[in-house]
Amino acid sequence: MSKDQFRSRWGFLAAAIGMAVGTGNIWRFPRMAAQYGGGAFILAYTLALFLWSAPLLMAEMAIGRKTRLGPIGGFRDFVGRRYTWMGGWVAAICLLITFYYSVVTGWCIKYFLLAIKGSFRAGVDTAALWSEFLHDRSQTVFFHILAIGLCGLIIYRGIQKGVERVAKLMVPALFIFLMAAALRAATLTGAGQGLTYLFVPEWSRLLQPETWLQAFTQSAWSTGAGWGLILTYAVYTSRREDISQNCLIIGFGDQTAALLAGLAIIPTIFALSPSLDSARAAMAGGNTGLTFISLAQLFPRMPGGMVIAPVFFLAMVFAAFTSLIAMVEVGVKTLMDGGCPRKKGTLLIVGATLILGLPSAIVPSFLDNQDWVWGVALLLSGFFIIVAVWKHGAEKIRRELINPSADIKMGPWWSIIIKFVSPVIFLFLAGWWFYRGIIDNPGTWWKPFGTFSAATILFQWGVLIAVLLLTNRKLARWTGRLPEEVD
Amino acid sequence: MLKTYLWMAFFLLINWGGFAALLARAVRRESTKILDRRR
Repeated sequence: MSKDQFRSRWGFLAAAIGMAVGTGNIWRFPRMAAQYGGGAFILAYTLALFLWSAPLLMAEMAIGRKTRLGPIGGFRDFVGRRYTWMGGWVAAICLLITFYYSVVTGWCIKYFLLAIKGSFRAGVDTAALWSEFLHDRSQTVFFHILAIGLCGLIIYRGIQKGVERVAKLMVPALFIFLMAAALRAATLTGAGQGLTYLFVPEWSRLLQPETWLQAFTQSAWSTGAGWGLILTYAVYTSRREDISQNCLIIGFGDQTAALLAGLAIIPTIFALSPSLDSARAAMAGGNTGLTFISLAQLFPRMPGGMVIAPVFFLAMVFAAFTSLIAMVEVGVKTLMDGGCPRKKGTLLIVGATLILGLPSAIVPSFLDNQDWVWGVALLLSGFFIIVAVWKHGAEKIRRELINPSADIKMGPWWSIIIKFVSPVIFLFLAGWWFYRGIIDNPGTWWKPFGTFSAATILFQWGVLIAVLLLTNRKLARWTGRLPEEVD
Repeated sequence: MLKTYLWMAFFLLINWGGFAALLARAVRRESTKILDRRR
């Protein structure tokens, strides 16, 4: 067995579930579920797993396992030289997200340390605490450097000694921490109202397109479908590794963590908020508002809250960290495909993240802009995976790559979904996102340098696509040499 | 509240049950592989 390969299937699954379960499971899913009809949203979200996320994860894993190359080389060998730039897009988006996700991971580390110190005491103005931290450049930069530095140390040690070992420790711990927080929340007096918000379906919500769109984007972002992450991890698996069963385990594992987070957060908000209106306001406060302001304020009111707060924020750290590792690995693998040894590649990607993450660490609105632009770009990455399937042949992938080693065989429905249903979903989701970008920002949507404008998405995407198209031939020539051949 | 608990059980059964069932199936498959190799 190569040293750069997962030692066992369980190591791969731990790393892959860690990749999928990120901060979005903890701070976005519960909010979305409570705001968009509870059980109705969960139903739509579960359907999204089968119509978008799982088929895409399987296609990505097939590309990585077959080509043994990261996204750029993978696209070149799987689809054709002319399509190398699409793999470049997938890798670039992943890296561009890494730059600011390292900053977000740093926030989680900071809040874990604050929880350990017992800083969330009754009467503390958590909104001021958050604002003070967010605008203290020395702190946000320090925690950004800490996050990417620790991540680099793990990747530097390789797949078996680094990624696999850490994932086997952090992922089970993350589930245990979420369970502890969920148990505490569910047994609070008044938790029932939160449970009702989370689980009882408000059927009328299913008639609103917004519910479906939020459910599908949540599933797409949360499972990591289209990011190039599972494509990269698949390179380090055996050539007989089961694609379909592993991808379904990753998808269901991701949803399990999301529901645990929902059980930990929503009952806490409803049981401990002074009124129903303030509980609803906490839900509407956005991802960071809910986590770093509302929950930080409610923990001191919870019996045992001083213990649960560090446990909860450590779960956040582990969730963010295992996802950050997967993102950095995409960059490192891409450089390795170009002939760079792992250690040098790690130093280069960590250095790039450290420097290019600085604007996000220093200027919060820059991070918001990057999240807005490259978050939506993941949908286009997913579409490029669909293009790869079209060009290679969906039935060929299903018959020759997925089913021979599968415990759960995929029927022709898999090809039908990925060829016909997923592209329609992509058009619907991307179209809606641009539509919202225009109607929500009537005076500024056309500004290419606006934080949340539709034009800023088109402008930044356009620049990246132009660069990738111009360098397509060079990319195709550069990638695909194994490090052993070069060294 | 009964309605809430029934819906909660339903969704947890689908998601957590699905996850547990898939993991159990993977464990069984891996064990079979190990036994086959020993034979």
